[in-house]
Amino acid sequence: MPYSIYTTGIGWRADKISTDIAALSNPWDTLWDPKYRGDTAVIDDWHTCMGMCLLRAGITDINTSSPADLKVIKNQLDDLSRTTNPTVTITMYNDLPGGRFSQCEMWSGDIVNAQYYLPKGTSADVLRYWFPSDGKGMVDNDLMVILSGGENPVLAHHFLQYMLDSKVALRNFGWTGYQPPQRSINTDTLVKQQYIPANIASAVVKEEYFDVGYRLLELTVENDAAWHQIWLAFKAGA
Amino acid sequence: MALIASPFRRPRLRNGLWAALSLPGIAWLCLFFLAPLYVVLAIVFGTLDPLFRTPVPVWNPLDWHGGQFKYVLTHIFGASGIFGPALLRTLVYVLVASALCITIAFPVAYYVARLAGHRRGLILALLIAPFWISYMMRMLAWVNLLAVDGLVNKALGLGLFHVHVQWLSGRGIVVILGRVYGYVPYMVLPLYAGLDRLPQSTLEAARDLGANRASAFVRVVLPMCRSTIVAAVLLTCLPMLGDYFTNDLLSASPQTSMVGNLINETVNAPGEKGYAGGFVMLVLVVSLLPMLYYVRSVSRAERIAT
Repeated sequence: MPYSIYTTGIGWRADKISTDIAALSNPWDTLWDPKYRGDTAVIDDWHTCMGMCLLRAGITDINTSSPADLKVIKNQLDDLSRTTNPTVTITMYNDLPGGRFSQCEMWSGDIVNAQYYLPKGTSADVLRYWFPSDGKGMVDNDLMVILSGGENPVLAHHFLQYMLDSKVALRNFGWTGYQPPQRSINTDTLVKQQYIPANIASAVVKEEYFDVGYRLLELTVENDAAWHQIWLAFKAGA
Repeated sequence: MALIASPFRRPRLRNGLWAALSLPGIAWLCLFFLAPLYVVLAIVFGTLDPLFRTPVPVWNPLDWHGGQFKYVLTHIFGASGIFGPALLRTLVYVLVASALCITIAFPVAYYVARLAGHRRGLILALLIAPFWISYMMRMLAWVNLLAVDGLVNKALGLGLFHVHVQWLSGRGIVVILGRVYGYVPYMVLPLYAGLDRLPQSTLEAARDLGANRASAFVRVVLPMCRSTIVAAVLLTCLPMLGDYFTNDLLSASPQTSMVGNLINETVNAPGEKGYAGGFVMLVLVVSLLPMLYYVRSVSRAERIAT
């Protein structure tokens, strides 16, 4: 059962990054811009980060098994290390508002959370998030799962039912920052109810994104090993 | 008869008692060092589940496969040497950090052991104080201090200038200094214990025989505490070798990755746990060399003493 939905885009602080990243012809380029060396971060998840490398290069098959595409990923990661020497982490929700870096690859749920981690006196107006407005980017969801051998299946179903209640789901969103998949929850309601500031309204996940967006899927054993070896070389700082 | 036999029995009884007392320690070592080490070996030289790529340990050494360990070894040098830079970085960072630690710790320990007088208790308490706070908490404190708008930059700006140094953006020097900060107390205490045991009479004899302070220090103090220095360096070097979270907290950049980070990365990746075991074996082999030197220098010191 879908629990939360999110996109992978770029988050940045407008008070520190002068460029309007969303207006760039290829916004992903900003993460490779040497001007932001030491001021950039990418997500410490092999598939998400490597998928972004493919999208930057215009390759939309983010589960590719083509050796040529894998070579593209490797070159992109090498360039990334050389140009911006990014922090590789999953603490963007805290470190972007905290000022450790000014731009990063980011999950939409984390930019929503970031507003609560800004230094005292800093307005949430400084936060920005870009995700392709046509939905052609990485979109994904987390799940709630009941084990087939679970001891209390009825209680588990009651729990799912409870979490799917719109009011509960919205309250849960207020805590986690990750959007629940209810149709009643959309950009207008979330901005209107002040769950999301208008300047990061692009972090709201729309239903149609799942029709046109790209999903990270399970890879075959050999392909998975090939992807991991490239990622390991990147993480080793080779 | 009983009067004659007793002097021979007592030492044997005493030896038996000490042997019995050492049993829990030996059992502990077997259970929590040798057995886990064997598990690591069984995984490194084991195989992989073809579907889930989880490690399948091979317990019989006769059936061991060297594929995973070979992969690690063949990717250290040359064109495919993806692990080489991280291993070299580890060596350099640990050596520089250890050198800085000993440079800071030795004078402190010498002062406390030989010159502090009645203030010794207070200074010792202050030296132990960092142990009351967890290592991770102390490192997290540095994350705040070294932030762009943190106290370090403010202090550097003296309240007059705006200093914008990004300390946490993958700088090797920050990782080294973080380790120095974290591990220096571990070096001060063993050094203090060794220096405190130096016989005053030997130092006085050196001075009586015409040695000045510097000469007595170089010719008497340093040789007599060589094994102490080696032990202190080992106590800090070994945990530094496997430490990955100092790096994660103060840098998190692949450009400062060390062997500990490689272990952490591979142990969590499908199909790469064997590589993690391979790195553990490499660290173990590298650690054994200074350990052997320590054992040799201690036994030589004991021989000289007797």
